[in-house]
Amino acid sequence: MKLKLHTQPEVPLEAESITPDVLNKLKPKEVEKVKLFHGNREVNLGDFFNVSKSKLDLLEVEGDMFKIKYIGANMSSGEILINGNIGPHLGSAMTGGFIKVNGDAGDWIAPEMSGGRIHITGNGGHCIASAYRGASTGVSGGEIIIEGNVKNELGHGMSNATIIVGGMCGDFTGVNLNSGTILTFGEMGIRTGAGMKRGTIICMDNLEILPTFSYDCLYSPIYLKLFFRYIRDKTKIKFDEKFIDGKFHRWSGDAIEMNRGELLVFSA
Amino acid sequence: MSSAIKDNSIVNEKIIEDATCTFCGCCCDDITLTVDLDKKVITKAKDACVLGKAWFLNHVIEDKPIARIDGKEVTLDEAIEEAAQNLIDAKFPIVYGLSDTICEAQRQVVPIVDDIGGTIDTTTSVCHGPSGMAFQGVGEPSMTLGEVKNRADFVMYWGGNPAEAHPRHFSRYAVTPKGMFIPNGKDDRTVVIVDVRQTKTAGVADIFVQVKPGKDFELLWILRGAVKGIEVPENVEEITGVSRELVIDLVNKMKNCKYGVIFFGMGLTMTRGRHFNSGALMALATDLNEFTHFVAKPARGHGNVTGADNVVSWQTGYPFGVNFSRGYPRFNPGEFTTVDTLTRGEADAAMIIASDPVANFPKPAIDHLKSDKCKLISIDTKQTPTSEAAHVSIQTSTYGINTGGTVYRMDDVPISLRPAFDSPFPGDLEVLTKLRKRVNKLAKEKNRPYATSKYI
Repeated sequence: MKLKLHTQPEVPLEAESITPDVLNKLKPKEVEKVKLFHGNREVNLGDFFNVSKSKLDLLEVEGDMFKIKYIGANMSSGEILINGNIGPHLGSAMTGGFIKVNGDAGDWIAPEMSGGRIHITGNGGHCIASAYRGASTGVSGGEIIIEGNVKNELGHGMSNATIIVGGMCGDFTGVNLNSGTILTFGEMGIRTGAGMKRGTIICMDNLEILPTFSYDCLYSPIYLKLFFRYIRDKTKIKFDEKFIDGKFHRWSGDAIEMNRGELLVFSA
Repeated sequence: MSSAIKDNSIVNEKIIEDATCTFCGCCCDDITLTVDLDKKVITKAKDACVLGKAWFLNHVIEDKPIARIDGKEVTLDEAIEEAAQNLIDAKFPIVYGLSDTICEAQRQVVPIVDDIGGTIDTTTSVCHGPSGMAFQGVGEPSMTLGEVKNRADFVMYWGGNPAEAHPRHFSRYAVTPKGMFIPNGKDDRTVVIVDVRQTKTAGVADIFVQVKPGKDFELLWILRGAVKGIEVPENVEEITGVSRELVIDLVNKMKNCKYGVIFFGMGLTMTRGRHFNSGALMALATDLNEFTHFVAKPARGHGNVTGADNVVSWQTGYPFGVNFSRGYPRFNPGEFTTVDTLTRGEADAAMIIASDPVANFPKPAIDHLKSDKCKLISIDTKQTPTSEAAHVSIQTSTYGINTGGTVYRMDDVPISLRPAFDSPFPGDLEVLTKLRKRVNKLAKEKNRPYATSKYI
């Protein structure tokens, strides 16, 4: 199935129906009548998208969709390929499947995701894989790869997921992290890992470490070699080969919480 | 019970005792007003601070039309009809402001937003909104100002300047008053001011802590660590600008006081880190409860901004930035807050109540408000850049001076108002009740799925 945006929405368009779980069972004529929300009005998918059959066995969505929210929400299987920029809440509460975005993504990517994979080739916004306001746990599984830069609060309250960022990160990366792994290649904002309980944050660039973290040692974790090879094979993130066999400073934190988290910083 | 209002028919003067000043969040309710009923002005405001005096004494009844559409004078009903049509036709309308009006009027706004499937946001989103988010994240160790007056022997102000923003906060509630367990007033209290620079507030401090700009979170984190028994780092002065000895002394004082309180301002909530800064401060106060009684409270600005939070929370479950597009309330600051919604050019109608975003929002937001894409409706007590730019503009009477009602003090205590004199302008409550009825009728006529079935 292929959806091509023909009319730019005037106000945010909420499109949680654009997911393989809903659309794969339908014929193109039926897909055009699937309901979306244009602000507070119910509209048909056909009002904004041209629907056609695709040669590929996946759901293809095309257009500049920065005002379109919730694509791939609650997705459990299948694949979405997005060519163009995408708005907030992509892959919200997804449990499985794969979303690939050839473009930039908005804020709040994959909140409450528990499985599946998201791969963004461009930049991401704020609060990627972050817990919703008031929640203590956010993403509880899955994998998110962003090849570009991201903004603040990456992986806020995350549990058991993996995030890879090819570019720069904003402030409070991995804040209140419960568990899981965040690996970043670019420059970091401030207050990384504040309030983290467990989990791992791996940074290639030097960063300002909070005073409640304590230094442990300089070492070369074996699993990182495998991790870097996985990134090299699966993404177009270009990184220096020196990281693969490099040594990392290990910091423990956050002492205010359980002090079971680790912050690995590449030793240049 | 004797009446507090006395008439003096000879000079046509009226004395109003125990009037409430609604200028700032202190909501001082002990002001004695002298009103010249002929000239319709307040001539004296005894016990009011400099801000309160300016609020009362400069209030005049302006010779302006009650309602205008595109600058042309119309009747109130015509303006309400036009506003209702604009709101009901909008796909992503937003209602913003609310902090300078009474709770009864605020209460009318939530069902309007529910019926139009819009977003309701208050001025909290540009001041203590991050604190509202932090309440959800870490909780609020709360109190009333009466408790502070009677019990607090350790008072800390963080990132605020109450000497200039809340002038009577010191004398009425937190620093100098003698309380039940604080018989000697200021002598029984330790007053600590934390700020990035010396302000007038620093003058009352027993201890002034000058933190490096943007390092509040780090200092709070170190204090939290120290309270939990983690050693204060040797380089604390290098990180935060505060000496190690002072940090240790501060922690000891905080742990050993009988009743500690921290008031915090926008130096904390509107600097880098925002809700995490407020969250860290409230978590510090919570942690200290292992040793003593410790509370924290934001020092709120506008007269009834606390009421706006309370009313919107009571009706929707969330304090600000609440969206009803899908018929149920959703809270997401950044997505549904006014500055962001306008800056991204999303809102196609905006009703601004008792606020002036055209004067103080970022330029892209103002440009969108003034553009043809957004129908701007203004309900305000004065002529402002927003009311001038508005498609529909309704002028209302001023709360606390011309109309009565309920406001919430910054510690969530409701206080009744005692208006001084009548105004030719209608009250916010009257205008918004009419608008609510009209919007509800239109929503039903247009078969909007979320139209509320009846008034509650």
